[in-house]
Amino acid sequence: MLRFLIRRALGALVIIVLLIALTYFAFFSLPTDPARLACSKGCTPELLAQIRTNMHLNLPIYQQFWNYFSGLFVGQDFGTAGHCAAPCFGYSYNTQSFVWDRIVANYPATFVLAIGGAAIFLTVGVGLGMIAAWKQGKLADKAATAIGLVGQSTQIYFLGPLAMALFVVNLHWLPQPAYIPWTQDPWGCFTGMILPWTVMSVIFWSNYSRQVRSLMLEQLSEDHIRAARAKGMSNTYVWWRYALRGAMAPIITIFGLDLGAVFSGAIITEVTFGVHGLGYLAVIAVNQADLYLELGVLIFSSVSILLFNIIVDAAYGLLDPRVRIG
Amino acid sequence: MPALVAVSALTLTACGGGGTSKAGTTGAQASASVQNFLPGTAADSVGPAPAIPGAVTGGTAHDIENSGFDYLDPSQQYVNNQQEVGSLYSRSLTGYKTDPATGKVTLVGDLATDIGTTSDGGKTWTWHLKDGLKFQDGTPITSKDVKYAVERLYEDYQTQGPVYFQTWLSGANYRTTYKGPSSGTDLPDSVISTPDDKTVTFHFQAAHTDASYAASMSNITAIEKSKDDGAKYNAHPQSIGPYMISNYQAGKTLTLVKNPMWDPKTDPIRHQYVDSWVFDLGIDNQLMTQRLMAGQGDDKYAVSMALNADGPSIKTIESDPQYASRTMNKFLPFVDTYDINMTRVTDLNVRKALATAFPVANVQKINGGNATGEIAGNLVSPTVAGWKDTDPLGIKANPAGDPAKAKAILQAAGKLNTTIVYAYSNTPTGQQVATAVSDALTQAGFNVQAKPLDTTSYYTQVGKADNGFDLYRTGWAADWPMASTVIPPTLDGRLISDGGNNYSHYNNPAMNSEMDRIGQITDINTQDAQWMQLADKILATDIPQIPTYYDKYFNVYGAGLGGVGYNQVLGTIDLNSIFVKK
Amino acid sequence: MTTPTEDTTETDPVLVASATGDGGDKPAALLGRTPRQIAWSRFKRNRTGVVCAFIVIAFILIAILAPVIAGLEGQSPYIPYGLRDPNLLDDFGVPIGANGGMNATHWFGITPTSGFDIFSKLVYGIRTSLGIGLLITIVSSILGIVIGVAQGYLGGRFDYLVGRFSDLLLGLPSQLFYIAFTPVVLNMFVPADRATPVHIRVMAIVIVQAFLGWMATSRLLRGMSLSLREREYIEAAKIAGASSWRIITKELMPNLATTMLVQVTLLLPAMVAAEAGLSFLGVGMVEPTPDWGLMFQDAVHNYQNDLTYLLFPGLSLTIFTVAFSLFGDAVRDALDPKTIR
Repeated sequence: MLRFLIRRALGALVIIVLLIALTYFAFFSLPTDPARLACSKGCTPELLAQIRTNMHLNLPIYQQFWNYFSGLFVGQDFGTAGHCAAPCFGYSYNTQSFVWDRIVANYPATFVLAIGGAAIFLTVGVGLGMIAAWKQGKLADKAATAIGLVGQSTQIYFLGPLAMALFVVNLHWLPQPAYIPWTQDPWGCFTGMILPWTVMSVIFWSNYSRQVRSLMLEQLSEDHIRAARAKGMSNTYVWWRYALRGAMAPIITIFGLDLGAVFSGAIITEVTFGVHGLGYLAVIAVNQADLYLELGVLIFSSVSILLFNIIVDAAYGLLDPRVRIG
Repeated sequence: MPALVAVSALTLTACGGGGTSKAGTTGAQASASVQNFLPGTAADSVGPAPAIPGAVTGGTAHDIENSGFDYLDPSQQYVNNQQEVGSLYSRSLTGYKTDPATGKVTLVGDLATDIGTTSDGGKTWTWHLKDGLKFQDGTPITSKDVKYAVERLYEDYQTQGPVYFQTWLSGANYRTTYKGPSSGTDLPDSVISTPDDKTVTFHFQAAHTDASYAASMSNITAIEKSKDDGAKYNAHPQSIGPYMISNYQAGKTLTLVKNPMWDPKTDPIRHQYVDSWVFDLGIDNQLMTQRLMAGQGDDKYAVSMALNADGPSIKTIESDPQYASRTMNKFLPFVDTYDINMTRVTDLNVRKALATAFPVANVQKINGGNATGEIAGNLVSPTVAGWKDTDPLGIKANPAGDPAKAKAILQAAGKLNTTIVYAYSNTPTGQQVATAVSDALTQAGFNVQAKPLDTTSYYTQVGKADNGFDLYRTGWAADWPMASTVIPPTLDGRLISDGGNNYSHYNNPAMNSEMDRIGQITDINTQDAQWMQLADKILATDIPQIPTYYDKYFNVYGAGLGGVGYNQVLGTIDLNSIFVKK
Repeated sequence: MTTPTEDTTETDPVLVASATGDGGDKPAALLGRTPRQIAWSRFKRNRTGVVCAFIVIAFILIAILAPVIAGLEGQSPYIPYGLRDPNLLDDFGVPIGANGGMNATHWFGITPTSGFDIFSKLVYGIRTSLGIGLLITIVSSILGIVIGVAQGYLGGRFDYLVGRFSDLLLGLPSQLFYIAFTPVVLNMFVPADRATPVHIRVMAIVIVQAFLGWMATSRLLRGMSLSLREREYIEAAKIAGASSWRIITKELMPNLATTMLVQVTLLLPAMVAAEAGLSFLGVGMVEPTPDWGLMFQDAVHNYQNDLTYLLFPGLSLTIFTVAFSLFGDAVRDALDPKTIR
C-alpha cells in the first residue's frame, strides 16, 4: 500500500514538473504585454522600459523560467516588493501581490462551495438512486431517473440566472449570492451560498443516482444478501446494513474524483454567481493577462486533482478488501 | 487612465442597459454658471474647511470597491479611487476646496500657505508650508519632507504615479540623472532647494504656468524618511491627514481611524466627521449595486466612491422614485473618443465622412446610455475649466449619425469603398459596439474590417506609431481641470511614439506651435479659454478624433449618510465631507 | 463499415450503466438475421429512443437548413435591428413589448442593446454550436481510436508511455485548461494585430478541446483491443501473414464499431455544451457569429431585465442534450443487450 502510494506520488510529481514547463513556455509565447498593463495613464516609453526592468521581462526566457521554477522550492526575491517565500508562485503585477497570497485569499470560497455542493449532490444523487432502486420499475423510479437526466443536461449558466431571477429578484427570499466567510457571518455565508451549492450540484445528480441504482440492484441479488433475508432479517436492515455498504466503494471512488474537480475550482459556477474562488481568479487572470497568476492557479488546481486521485485510490483499497494494490 | 479602463473590462462586467436621465439626476449642473477650478488666494487656503450644514460627528462610514486598492503609497497613486482614499490620510502642496453652499471649486494651498508663487514666469516655483503640520507620530513636517517625497519618485520601483514634476525638473529621462534617495545622495539645490524648514523651491527646466495644479497630485506630498522602506511602504503609509490606517488586508479590507495629530485649523479642505472609515474590497459590481440599493445593516452608511451601478440595475434605479434622493449622477473627467489614424487616413473628406456616419447615439447606448455618458460635441470634458458646450462636427445636432450624407461626401470625393480597419477590445461590449460601427459605416459606403484585439494588449497595439488600424476607441481624462492636460498629451504631433498617448498621430505644425504659445500664457483664465478654442479648431480643421460621450458617474449611496458631495476633479464621491446621520 | 463476421453481442460488454429501463434484450428469435437487423428491430421497439432520434434529426436538419428556416421568418442574424430602428428598444436598451419584443416580425423577440433577431440567431447558432461540437467529437474520437487501438495492439513501451501521457492530460483541470490555452493556440496561427478569421477560431477551439477529449475513448478501446488481440480469428490472421495494419483495420476495427458509436453519442452533447461554455466565458466565438454560448453570455448579463431571452438558448440546449442522451442510451441498448442496467 505504502509502496503504491509512493509510486503514485512520484508519478504525479513528474507530471506536475512537465506541466509547469509546458504551460510556462506556452503562456510566455503570448503577445500580451504585462508591462504595458502595469503602465498607467500618461505612460511614456521611459516609464515602460523601467517597468520592464522591474518585472525582469528583459531577461532571456529560460532565465525567467529558471527563476520561477526554483522559486517554487526555495522562494524568490522580488527586489523592493520583498522576498516571496517558498512555495513562491510568482508575483501578480496587476495587484502588486504574491500569487500565492491571492490563491490563499480566494481558496476559502472555492472550498466552501465545494463542500456544500458536494454534500448536496451526494445526498440528492444517492437519495434519488435509492428511491429508484427501491421502487424499481415504478413511477418513482422513472421520475428519479428523469430528474437526474434533465439535471445532467442543463447548464449552470442557464439554471443559475433562472434561480436568481426567481429567488433573489422576484421573491426576495435570498440575498444576491456571494461568498461571505463563515467565520464572519455563518448565516450570511449559508444564504449567500445556498443557490450556488444547489445549482452546481444539479449536474452531478444523475451520475450518482444511476450508479447507486444499478449497484443496489446488483447487491440485492447477491448470495449473501439473499442468505441474510432468508435468515429472517428485516428488509430495511438488510437494505441499510448490507446492500448500501456494498455499494459504497464505487460511489466513494466517483465522489473522490468529483471532489477533486470541484476543489480545483468550479469556473462556470463561480463566474455565474460571482463567487470569488479559484475559478473566478483564473478567469480574471486570463482576462488581465496576469500570466503568473494564471500559471499559479493552473498548477494549484492540477495538484489538487492529482492529490484527490491518489487519495481515492488509497481509500478504495482500504474500503474494499477485495482490492489489493501494490 | 487608458490601460486601467481596459483592465476593468472583464468578461462579465461590461456595461449593458443604459438610459436617458430624468430631470434632477443629470450631470448638467456642471455646465452651470459657477466659474469653477480657478486659483484661490492665501486667505482661501486657511483652515478649517467651511462646515457642512447639518453635519454631526461620530459613526462609521463604509465604502464598497470591486477590487483592492493596489496602491496606498501616495507617491504611487494615480487612479481616481486611490487618489480619493489617499486624500483621507495624505495631503499635497495644493488641493481643491469645495464651497458647500454654491458648489464652487477653488484651487487652494493644502500643505502650503497658498497655491505657490513664481518669480520668473513659471520656471521657478516656491511654496511655504503651514504651521502646525505633523506626521501621525507627532513629528513636525518640514520642507525637507516635501523634497524627500519628490526625490523618492526617482526610485526604480516608482512607476505608477504621474511624472509631471520629475520630468519638469530633470527631463524625460529623469531616472538617468538621479537614482533616488536610496542611492545615498540628494537632488542638488539647483533642482529643489529648501532654504528653511518652511520653504521649498522647485527649479523647472522650462516654464510651467500650471505648476500650482500639478502640485495637487497625490505624489507631491510629504514623506517621513525614517518610515520609508521602499516599495513596502505601500502597505503602511504614514498619515498626515484626518484619518490614519489601523487595519489593512490587501484586496479584502481597509480600516481608517481618526488621526489625533491632524489639526483642522491647517486644513481648508477636509473634515473629520466620522469616527472611522471601513472599505470593503473585492465586491462584484452586481453585488455592490444590490447592497447599495437595499441599504441593509452597515450598507445604509455605504457609498461606492468611483464605481458605476451595475448596467442592468440602472433601469430599476432610474424608474423607481425611492432611489431618487440618494442617486448621484455627475460628470467624470473622461471623454470617450474614436481616434482616426492620421498617418493612414490622410484624406480629410474620408475623415469627414467617418465623423458624419459615426453612430454616436448607438455607441453611447451600448455603453450604458445617458446615465453613464452624455453625448459629447467636443474633446474637452465639462469637468475642465473653460469648457464650452460647442459642437464643431455637428455630433450633438445629430447623434444618430447620417450614413446617407456620409455616402454623398465619399461619392463626391471619389472614395467609395474605402477600407477602414476598425480595431476594438474584444469584450462583450466591444463586440456590440463593433457591430454598430460596422453597420453604420458599411451603410455609408465604407468597406469595414473589424479587428478584435486581445483586451490585455489593446493599448499596446493601438499605441504603436505604426499600428495598422484606421479607427479605434480611446478615453482620456484631464489630470487637473485644465485642458493643458488634455490637448498637448493627446494631440501634440511631436509626442508621437510607440507607447505614446497621441493615438490619432495628429501632427499639424501650426497647431503644435499654438500649443506652445497657449502653454506660456500666465493668466489661467485666458489660457483656459484659448485651450477650448484650440480644441475646437483642431476638430473643425482636421478631424483627428470623433468625440462620442462624456463619461459620467452613476450610482446610489446609503440613506444614512449626509454631506455626500462629488469631487469633480477626480470624478469620485467626495469622502471628506461625508457624515453619518443621527 | 464492413459487416462484422462475428456477432457483435459476443464482444465484451461496455461497462456503462444505462438510465433507461426499457428496451428489449430478448434473444433474437429469428434465424438468419444480421446483427445490424437485430439491433435495428430492437431500437425500433424503444419508443423513447425513436422520439429522441426524431428530435436529434430535427436539430441536425435545422442546422443544415438554417438559411431556409430563418428565411421563413425573413430576418437575418447579422443585422442589429434595434440599432437601425430606435422604436424597437427603450432608452435602457431593453426590447419594447412583452416577452422581449416577440411579435410577427421577430418571432422570438430581439436581443437587448443591439436588437438582433433571436429566432434567426438561435437557428444559425445551432449550426455553429453543433458543427463545432461535431468537429471536436470527430477529431477526438479519431485520436482516441487510433491511439487506443495502437496501444492495445502494439503494447509494450509504446503502450506505457502513451498511457502515462494520457494520465497527465486526465490530471488537468479541463475547463481551466480550455480558457487558458485557447488564446495560446489562437496566437500560434494569427499575429496579434490581425483579425482572426472565423475558421481559425473554430480550429483553435477544436484543437484545444480535442486535445483533452480523446483519453476516455482511447482507454476503452485499448482495453477492448487488448482482449480482442488474443482471439482466435486474430491469431489466424497473424498466422496467415496479414500485416499489423491489415489486422487493425480489417479485423479489429469492425469489432470495435459498436463501442465507437456508443462513445460518440456520449461525447457529442458534452462537446456541444463545452463549446457553449467557452463562448460563455468569453474565450470562444465572437460577435457577430451566431452562437449559443454567446447568446448565453449576452442573456445572462441581461437576465434581470429580459429573462425571456435566456429561455431560448437555455431550453434549446437542454432539450438537445436530453434528447441526445436518451438517443445514445437507446442506441447502446440496441447494440449491447448485455449492458447492465
